[in-house]
Amino acid sequence: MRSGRWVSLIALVLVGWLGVGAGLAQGGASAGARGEVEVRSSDLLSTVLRDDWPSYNGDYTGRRYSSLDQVTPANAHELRAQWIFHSRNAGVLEATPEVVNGIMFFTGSNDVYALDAATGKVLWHHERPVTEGLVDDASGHINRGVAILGTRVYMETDNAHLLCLDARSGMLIWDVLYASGNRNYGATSAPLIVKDKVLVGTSGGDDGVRGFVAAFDAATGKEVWRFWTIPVPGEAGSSSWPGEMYLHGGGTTWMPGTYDPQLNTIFWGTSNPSPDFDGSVRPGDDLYTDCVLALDPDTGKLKWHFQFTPHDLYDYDATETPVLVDAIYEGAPRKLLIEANRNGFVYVLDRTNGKFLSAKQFVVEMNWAKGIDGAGRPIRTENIPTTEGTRVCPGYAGATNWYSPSYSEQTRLFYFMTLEDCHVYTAKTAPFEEGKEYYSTGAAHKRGEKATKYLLAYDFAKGQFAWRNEQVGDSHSFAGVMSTATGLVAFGDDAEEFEIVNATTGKALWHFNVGQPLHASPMSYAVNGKQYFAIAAGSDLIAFALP
Amino acid sequence: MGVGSERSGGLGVVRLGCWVVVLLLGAVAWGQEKAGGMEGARLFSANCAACHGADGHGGERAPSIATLRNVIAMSDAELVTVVGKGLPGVGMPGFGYLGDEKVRQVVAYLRVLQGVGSTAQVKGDAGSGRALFYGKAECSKCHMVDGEGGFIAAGLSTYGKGLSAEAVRRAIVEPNYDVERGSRVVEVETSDGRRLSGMARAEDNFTLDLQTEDGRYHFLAKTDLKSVRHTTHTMMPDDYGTRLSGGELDDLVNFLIATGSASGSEEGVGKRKHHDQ
Repeated sequence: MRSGRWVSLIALVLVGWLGVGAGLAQGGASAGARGEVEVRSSDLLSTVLRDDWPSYNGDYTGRRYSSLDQVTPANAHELRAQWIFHSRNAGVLEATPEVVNGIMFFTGSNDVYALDAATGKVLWHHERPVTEGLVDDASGHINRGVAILGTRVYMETDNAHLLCLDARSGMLIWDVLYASGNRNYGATSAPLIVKDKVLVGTSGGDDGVRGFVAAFDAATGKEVWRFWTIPVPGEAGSSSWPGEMYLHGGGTTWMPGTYDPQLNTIFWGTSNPSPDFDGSVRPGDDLYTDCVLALDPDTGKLKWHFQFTPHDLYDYDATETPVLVDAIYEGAPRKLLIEANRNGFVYVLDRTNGKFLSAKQFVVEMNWAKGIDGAGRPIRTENIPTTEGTRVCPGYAGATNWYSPSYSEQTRLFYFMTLEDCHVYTAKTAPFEEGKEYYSTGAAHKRGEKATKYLLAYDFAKGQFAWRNEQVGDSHSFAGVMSTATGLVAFGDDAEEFEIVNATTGKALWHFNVGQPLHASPMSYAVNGKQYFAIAAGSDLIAFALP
Repeated sequence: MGVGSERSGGLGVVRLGCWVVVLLLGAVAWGQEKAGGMEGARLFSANCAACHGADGHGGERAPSIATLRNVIAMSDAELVTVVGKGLPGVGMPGFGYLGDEKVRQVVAYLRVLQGVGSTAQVKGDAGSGRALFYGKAECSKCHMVDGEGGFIAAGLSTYGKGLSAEAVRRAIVEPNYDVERGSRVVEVETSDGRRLSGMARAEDNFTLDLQTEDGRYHFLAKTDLKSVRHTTHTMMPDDYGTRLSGGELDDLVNFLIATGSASGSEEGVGKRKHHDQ
């Protein structure tokens, strides 16, 4: 076709879009019409999730609460699968899909896909080989999703590169290696956009790397700041890290943080210290491992920190989502941070200053601590890993984990999956070696002991559990939870089913056999007025809607 | 920040630039005698042509292995493996029974069909070619190289790697010589009279996801369309042979080959190694 014909055709097309686009722009979280990706940083400030789900947790609060209201307790039983996207090149998918104006972005290993959110058809696919020679989690090439800003999509690769892709084509715009000096670094998280920056973390907390949160200019990929989670000699907290231990202390940052624009603060969890089970080489509290860090997103400066498990000997990462909730608490409106921690306690903090407000034990069997004191520190027992082995509860998979919790504005309950489990921990001092994990031995089930998963609803205002649903299964699921304004809680259960329950009562409303292990967290979105739920299962991504 | 500024703003100034690799052309006949030898050609004709076509450009039963980027991007060793063992998942049989030497000869001849590995001198100047790419020739309005340029046509960061100058030149001056299905312009008219033209990024019997030049995806139900026309041409202008001088074409070709050879980018042609967890 000659250019002249093209000009006239395209002009016709553009005129058509302008008319349509003006009508569709209303009420959406992001600019642009259906089929266009244009996410402004101001769009990400909305805490009302409707058609779009533009970041890993949907919005900055991390609460995974959708205001879509088409699916209700009365009709949830009519949900049915709409489409399946099959990833041919990943193991068990862990990503949360993100949706903007009818386009879904999804990751599997180092690959990124843009899908038609109504059909699951692939619009583009950015392929990148997986990296050989990685260690531990990174060697599984896990990836949990993208971040979106403007017309660009950002992802972390298994070997800790930050990629910037064109959201319209998947083409690579820039590629920045952001963790070096230790080949045990990797990355598994979705990045977090804050204003004009892309924030990333790393994996490798069980493998002797030094954790950090880093911010990059979203336009250029230039590094703006980096906060190291393990202090260098001479800094506050460095007494835990004799000699060169600070280089191998862990405290990694392998899940996206949350963000409070009013406080101009990001809240980012850090992992366990390295080596996991041998505390003799890292005396003291091991700052800033197992913490939630409150950082200035412009500078990376630490505002406050709260450490859940000082001197962790059990692999109790604090990378669970720190959910931001504004609510009446003890008679006054408070800006709260709620976190169900791997160590078996669910915490409520004042997020303006990090002050501890409450902690509630949420697993039945607990023997590493007797409780939490008034300052938020655990009251410890003598159960610590030994060369002979010590049975400790919760076990090393955590009483909960990275899979998403959810807070419902409607029921004012905090929902999360828990794991009732114990392990026999053994420890022996060993040197750090690049290319090898750095657990300093391990943890195993006591013969005959089995674990059980639960879906739990926590009324944090009362400090009571509203309900607790025991799950049937092998306890190997790693699936998260979300809630909706119509009183639904959707989650991946422990028997390879995507399930929806009544948020108030916990009563089951609907379930669907996905036939594969669930290691991902669900989300909801809408296209053309139709509400969908989506969750990754095994190597597939499945979307559900009413007929 | 500037990431929101890439959308097309000027409605009247829609130029189509240089849509080089929506399509990809092999060198086909050029230099067929040179490498691979007569034995490779004979083996290809006897074993591959029935499905892939005599020139490797695809047939009813198998795709074009002469022009598909992901095939061209494979190493010789990988191609030897594929020819030897086949691809059971897609119905390609293995030809290992021919013996290693004959499999290598088949691969060598395939490289000839792909226009890869020509020893011919690449004329022109890469610096001048780069200036043309981002300037007068307007290639970068649609194509991206190393993160700079447009998005609607294929990225060219690695395109020129291993290709002969003849193959690249032909792709520029004869963009519609042999266009892959996914690179053909699709024109539709909706039931309410709207006309759209662009690239079909996904299509089945029921839906068509059409991406127009501004990057927007149009998610169309076939029941809402009055007509769908799959053309045989790309979006790329076909007058570069006259618009650019011979010297300018040499410069552009040199730039694309030099860029591809120097690039470590995996853009669009990544290869996956399976990892067992």
